[in-house]
Amino acid sequence: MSLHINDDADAAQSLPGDLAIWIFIFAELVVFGILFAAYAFARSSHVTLFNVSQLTLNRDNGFANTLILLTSSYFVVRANQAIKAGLNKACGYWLSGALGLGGGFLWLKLAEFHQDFVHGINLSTNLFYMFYLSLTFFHFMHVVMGMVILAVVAYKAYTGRYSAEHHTGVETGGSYWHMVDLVWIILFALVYVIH
Amino acid sequence: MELSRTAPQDKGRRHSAGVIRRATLTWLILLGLTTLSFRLGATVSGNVLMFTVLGLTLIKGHLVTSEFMGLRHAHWVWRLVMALYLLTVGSIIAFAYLRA
Amino acid sequence: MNYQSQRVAKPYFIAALGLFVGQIVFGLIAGLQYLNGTFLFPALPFDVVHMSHTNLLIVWLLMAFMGAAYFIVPEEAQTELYSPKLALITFWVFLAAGAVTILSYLFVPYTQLAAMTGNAVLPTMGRGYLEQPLPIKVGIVLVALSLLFNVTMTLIKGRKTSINFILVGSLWGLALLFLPAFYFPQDTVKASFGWWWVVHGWVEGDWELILGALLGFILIKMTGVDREIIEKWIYIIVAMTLISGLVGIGHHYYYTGAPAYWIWLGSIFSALEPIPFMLLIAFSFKTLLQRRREYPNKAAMLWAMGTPIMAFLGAGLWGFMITLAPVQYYIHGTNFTAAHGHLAFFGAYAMIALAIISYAMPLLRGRIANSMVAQRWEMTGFWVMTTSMIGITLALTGAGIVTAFLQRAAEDPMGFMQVQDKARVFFWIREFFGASFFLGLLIYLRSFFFAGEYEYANEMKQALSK
Repeated sequence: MSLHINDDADAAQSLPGDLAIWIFIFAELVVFGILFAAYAFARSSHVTLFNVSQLTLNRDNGFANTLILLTSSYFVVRANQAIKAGLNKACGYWLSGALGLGGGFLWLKLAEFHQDFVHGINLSTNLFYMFYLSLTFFHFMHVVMGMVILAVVAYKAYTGRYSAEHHTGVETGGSYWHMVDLVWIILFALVYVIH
Repeated sequence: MELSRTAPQDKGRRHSAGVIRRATLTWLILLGLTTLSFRLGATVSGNVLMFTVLGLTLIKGHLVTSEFMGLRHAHWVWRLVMALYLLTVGSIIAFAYLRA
Repeated sequence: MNYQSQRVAKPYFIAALGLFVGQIVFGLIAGLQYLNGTFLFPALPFDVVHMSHTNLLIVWLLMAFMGAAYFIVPEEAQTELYSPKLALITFWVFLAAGAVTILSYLFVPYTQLAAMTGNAVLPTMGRGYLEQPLPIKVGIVLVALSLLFNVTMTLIKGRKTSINFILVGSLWGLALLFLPAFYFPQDTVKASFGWWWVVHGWVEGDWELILGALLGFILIKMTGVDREIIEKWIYIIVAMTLISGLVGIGHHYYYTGAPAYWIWLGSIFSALEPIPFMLLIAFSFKTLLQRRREYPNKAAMLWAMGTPIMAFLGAGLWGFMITLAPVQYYIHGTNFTAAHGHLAFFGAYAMIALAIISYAMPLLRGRIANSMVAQRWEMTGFWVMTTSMIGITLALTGAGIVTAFLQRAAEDPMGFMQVQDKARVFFWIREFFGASFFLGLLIYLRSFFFAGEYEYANEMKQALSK
């Protein structure tokens, strides 16, 4: 078992989780980085349009969602610490909590999308909404994917597949979830706050 | 064997209590910084807002990556790559906003 | 080779190589027609030659992928193929259908062919790569169903590995993504949607997954690196391909009548499409460095390592250069696109097909690897073909740039034929490299005609005597 870990460990040197997931995380960060840059530059030639449209966003929802994701990230950290102490059940509970918060995030976001839909706002409405909708929807899909990963990890934790020595899966899934959180932190500042 | 097992476990518990406290503190700071950014967004505007919130966001990003993601313990190359990423994204955004 | 039924892959691979030769011959003729428009006219007009060139490409690649599936799925599932007989029948049906298609292109005028085959009932003919008459398209679906039935049943009764899941899953995707070929409405915008769902869905989506699965399989076998590690890489490559490729289809929607936001979405997401290819390079070289054995088939290793690099150059870099909407505005449909098409198809798909053939054929012929003499011929073929393809790509890129500047971006644009004259030197260079590519192909094929296998004792003796 330990052989698998050692193979990657030489290059990674104590990166939490698999090297492969970290390569993936950086690739994902580049993807979002390009999207953020595109948003910022598109805005620079349509400042008024962006400012006016930004005012219509539900900023409270964005704020709440940031707190939710930060807290779920914290729960994942606690899950990691639980498994390091050999506490499988506790690890599962913390992960379930994180999953519940993820569900809350999706619920709030869907409510926002629903509002837009009711008001007839779509990708063609204007450049700001094109970015707002595609950025947040793209991130939404990442939350869904992160939740799928967390659910698998939580299930494995409940059924006792991890131990204090072998818990790469928890770290791998957790790292991905933190990435989803990190991206939202930037997205929140960019789309909801700065104007 | 039985005897020697209890001692390190106790030590481990003390150690993990410290780790938990650190994570909790980080989480609270993150919540605080988020609230601050949000409040600023309602009161301040223009480049002041942009630079302050962007700065706060980079700090938050750094906290998440080094404390939550555990890069604090990783090889310095990884920490550098992540720091460069955050700085690059931050500078590109700042540049684009200043250009507007 | 561990299972008798894997043998059905052999005719697929041989036929694939035969069709590959045909593709190159038509390519050479088409290249000459660029230099002399009446060459072989009216017996072989350019549109027929061009159509045969591209259709043969698709058919030989599909042949090779099918052969690869029949070879890999039983090996991974650790069981015999569900029905080797069905696989063999399917082979003959597919080969016959391919031959009939090309012959009908050559000997029946296209409009007449369309009238004869019921195109009026359900119009499907005419779009690039999808020119096949209706009965042939139905035949392709049946062949695909037979393949899917066979490999899925094999997968179900045997060991379940990630490589098999990704391979069989992407073969299902390949079949499903062919269905929009039957959707050809009057509305030209919708018609081009249907076209791109097939073409983009294949080459910038599904086939990349097949590429990943094949490369993963070859590397597991040749390097002895843990399956677990390789599978993780393949999964993230699959995920990245889907993340960039799904929305990246927008780069085909620019200026076609699709909503304007596709200009942004298509530009951004297609700019990300090189990422999975970078991951492929990182993955294959990391795996190579961690290898636990020296596999005697050096030629197969060369193909396997060459694939991600050339795929990155052709699909990733050359694709990126033309993908952004403001750039595409000027170079849409120029030879720059053809340059990208050539290097991408060769680097990603032809090379992975040749890699799996190179790995599997010696095993199918009862040896672990070919003799060193045969391998040297094969590797020479690799280098001649690869450098020639780079030459073709650069020449076409030059021609594309000439068009972009003189015909598109100029203050006082020149006419099409005038510009073609200006680009003439590039068409000569392209034809020259085309000929040398053909030479490389012949050198490569020569490697199959050496008897004997790789002998460790002989190699050791030679190495010591030096």
